[in-house]
Amino acid sequence: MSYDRFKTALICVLLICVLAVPVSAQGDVIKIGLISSLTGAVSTYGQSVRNAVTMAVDDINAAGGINGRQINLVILDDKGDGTEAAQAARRLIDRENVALILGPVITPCVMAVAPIAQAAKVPMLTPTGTGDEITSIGDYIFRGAYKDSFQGRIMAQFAAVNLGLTEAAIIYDVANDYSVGLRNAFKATFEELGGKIVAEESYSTGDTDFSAQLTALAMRNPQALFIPDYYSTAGPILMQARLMGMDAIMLGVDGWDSPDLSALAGGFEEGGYIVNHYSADVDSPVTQEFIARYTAAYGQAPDALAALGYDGALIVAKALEAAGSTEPEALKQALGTVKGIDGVTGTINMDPEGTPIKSAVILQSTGGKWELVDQVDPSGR
Amino acid sequence: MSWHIAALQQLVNGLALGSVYALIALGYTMVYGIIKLINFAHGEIYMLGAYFGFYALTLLNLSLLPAMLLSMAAAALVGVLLERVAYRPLRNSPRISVLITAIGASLLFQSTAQLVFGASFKPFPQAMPFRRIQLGPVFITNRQLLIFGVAVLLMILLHVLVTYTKFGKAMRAVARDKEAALLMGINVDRIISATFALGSALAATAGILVGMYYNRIDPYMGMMPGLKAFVAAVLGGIGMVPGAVLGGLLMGVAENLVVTLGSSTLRDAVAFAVLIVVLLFRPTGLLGKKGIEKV
Amino acid sequence: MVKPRLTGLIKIILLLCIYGVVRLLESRGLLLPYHVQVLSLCCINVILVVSLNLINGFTGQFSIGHAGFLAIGAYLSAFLTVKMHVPFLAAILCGGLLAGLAGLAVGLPALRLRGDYLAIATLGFGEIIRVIILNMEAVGGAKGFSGIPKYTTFGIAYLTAIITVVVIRNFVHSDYGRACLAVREDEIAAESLGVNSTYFKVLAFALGAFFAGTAGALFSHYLQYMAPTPSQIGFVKSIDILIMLVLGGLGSLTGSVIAAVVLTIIPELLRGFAEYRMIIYPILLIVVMLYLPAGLMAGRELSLDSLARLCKGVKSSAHYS
Repeated sequence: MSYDRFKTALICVLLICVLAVPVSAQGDVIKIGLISSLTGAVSTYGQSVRNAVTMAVDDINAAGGINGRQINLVILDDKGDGTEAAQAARRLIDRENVALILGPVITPCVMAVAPIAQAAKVPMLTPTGTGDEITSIGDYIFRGAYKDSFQGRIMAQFAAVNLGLTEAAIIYDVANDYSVGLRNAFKATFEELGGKIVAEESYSTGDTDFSAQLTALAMRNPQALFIPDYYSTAGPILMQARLMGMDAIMLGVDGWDSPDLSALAGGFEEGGYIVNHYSADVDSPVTQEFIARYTAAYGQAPDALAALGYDGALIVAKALEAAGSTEPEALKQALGTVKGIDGVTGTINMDPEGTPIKSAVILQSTGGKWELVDQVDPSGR
Repeated sequence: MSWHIAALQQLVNGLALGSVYALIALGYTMVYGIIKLINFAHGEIYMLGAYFGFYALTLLNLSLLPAMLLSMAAAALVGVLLERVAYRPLRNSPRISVLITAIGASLLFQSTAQLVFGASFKPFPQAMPFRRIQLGPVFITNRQLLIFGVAVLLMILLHVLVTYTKFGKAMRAVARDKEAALLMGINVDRIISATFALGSALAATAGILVGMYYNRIDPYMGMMPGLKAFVAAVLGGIGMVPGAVLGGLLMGVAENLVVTLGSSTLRDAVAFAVLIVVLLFRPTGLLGKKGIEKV
Repeated sequence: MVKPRLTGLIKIILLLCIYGVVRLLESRGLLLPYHVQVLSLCCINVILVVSLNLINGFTGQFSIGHAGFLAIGAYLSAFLTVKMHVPFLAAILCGGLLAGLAGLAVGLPALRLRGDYLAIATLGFGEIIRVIILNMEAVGGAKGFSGIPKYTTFGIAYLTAIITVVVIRNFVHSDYGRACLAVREDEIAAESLGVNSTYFKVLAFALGAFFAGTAGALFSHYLQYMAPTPSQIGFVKSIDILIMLVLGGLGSLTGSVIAAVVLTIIPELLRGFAEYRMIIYPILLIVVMLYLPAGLMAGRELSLDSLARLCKGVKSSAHYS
């Protein structure tokens, strides 16, 4: 190794370090941190959330900010990795002195950030984290999504009571907490209601071939198949299942909600049921406007994660307004009590326990559109 | 469906999945055979090939075959450039340094693709009608058949190329001893470039076929299949063309067998355990030649 | 040439000084908890890279399943402190010991497999560990293991890193280490000189795994949450460690330390770049590799002597200019 080469390499490294010095804005602003997965295998979800949150914050700032103060959004990437998310959280808390953390997006990151936020007494709201245990970490931890147990139970009730099914099968992602949580809740409720889970198969995040699992499931000829996963995986599963000749009723979750589902499923989502936050039939103007503007801004229609991200930002804005300050204790109180937020995913009432009380709807895919079949009382959270 | 028919159906599924691994493994093994490099970026070239095909089909409105050829050419170019920029300067360096640049290239392709093509999952245009072919009690789809057919066909073609043509002879010579090959008047650089072009074109073929088969592409689609295909190539004996296909098919069947036996949660673990056991009995893979240890 | 006893003393003082400076800056508020957190992670990565260096760098084996050992140490120690209320120190040791045992088990295939085949076997081993953990409800399964107490302080991580480096340095300079080097250079020649290559390969694996296990124990009590994801305990993590090792230079302990620290800090500096971060990082990696194919230290060590010589060199060249 020549000294010159060493020097060149060293200069490269130093240059990067110099470039990396962050620029932070000052002034009378409210600083909010957003931790999201902008790179890595789950970046498609993280970018949806980032886009929607950025849009919401821009809206709020354009409308005059919160009590006259502008929001300054600091966005940090966590690569979908817990270690990185924890570092990002520490940086937001210690260096950026944010009033509040929005995010992270996926449960492994949320679970790594929550203890840090709780210990530092910085309120945190994950727009998309669904794991039941998230909000039990502490009183500073909030979420904008359903709990897995809530959603799984609703689908199981609908399947057992409304559809009158007695047998169902499940295929789920063993490496994804969201999928496992929903599967557990569905299974428990369905069996409680006298139904039987005749077969269960699993796969791992990133798998694309489900033929083995589906063949094993098809052998049991189940009346229904519950697929608790995001549209990106549920789509190919739906297609492969139907092409295999499976005629079970397909049951899904809010993660299916994406304009891309139909193309990914080859149109085979037809006839399937999902739990969702809102329905196109009873769309509020907020929802319509959000879909139109998001599509215009980012060149693709929003998925469920974008909708949740937008609403997460709305909840936070409302709480900041109600608290009247960025003092953590007041903010925490406000986050647990703000009511009647007119969000993209419906009317949101926050609860001190940390999970919003939102209504749920059951939709069925009919002729390429999701149509409302049932509305569920949110009190059974 | 009774048990033995299901088992038979799983065998068919396993062969189809195995063909996917085999297709990717072929390119891996070609590159490894000649410069003994675990080309970690191979999975990403497979991904790029799928995207090239995607845009050729959607933006340029080409039909399947021209789109495939275009994508193969583009991927070959990327492969040759990659070798030229990131691997060739390190040809006389420790092998592990090249491995690290390969990993770097793989990360770079992933994040660039994410930035350029977007991070979202894209549905692949269905350039082929769907058909179900009944074979007695079991069935196979026309896509599965296509992938299996292409994998076997390419294996035969490559085998013929490597064994019987002048180019193949030159490749083998370079693989055996670069200096000696140079002395025999073989343009070593060109042979290596050509091998990368070939390997990358193979990866692009795999990318398009697999994209069509699973109806979904994304910037990180090369990661797991790339790893599994590499494992398959090693299982069959890396550097051997028939070994890649054998290893791929074996992996696919083994994975599906595990599911049939009722433990889909342990699928990946069992697949790797099988690999380790096989390697313990055949330390250089199933078709690998036993190296002679010289003192 | 500086006298050995004197250099030893200088080194101890230097190491104490680093610790003192960190603590001082921390108490003055110049180093935020965030920075100390990053430094702790640096120490944990130093342990991982140095222990992998023993296997890959000094003994010439090719392991890319190091995260598997980390996983064992991390989960076992967390299980012990959370569910059994075992003291942290004992939990670290237990985590290290079980990982060491696993290292013995992995060392065995190494007797038959060479090079890339061994690499794939170790990779497979790491993934098997991950899938098993994923399926273990007692440690949280896919949900991950949460509620781990925050026991890992910078002091503990720093001390463990120093112990690791010292132990491995002394091992490498002992008869055992010489034997490992002999196995790396030429296994058959070493055998013919009476070196039991089997024994030393397995020993290197076990010792390297032990330290990776302790790093794991520190890691789980640092993050307070473990998830069985590829980037945390799977092949992505293994490859991260390998990158640090090669960038530092195989067979150079100081190289490992420098690379582990630098490569932990760089992604941190780049965090604000969002999507561009993962473009800058690999380019940096490729460029450094192209210019320094044998790594930063290229098998040499940074010692007080070499530093002294460098200073003299700078002085004399200053004299001429």
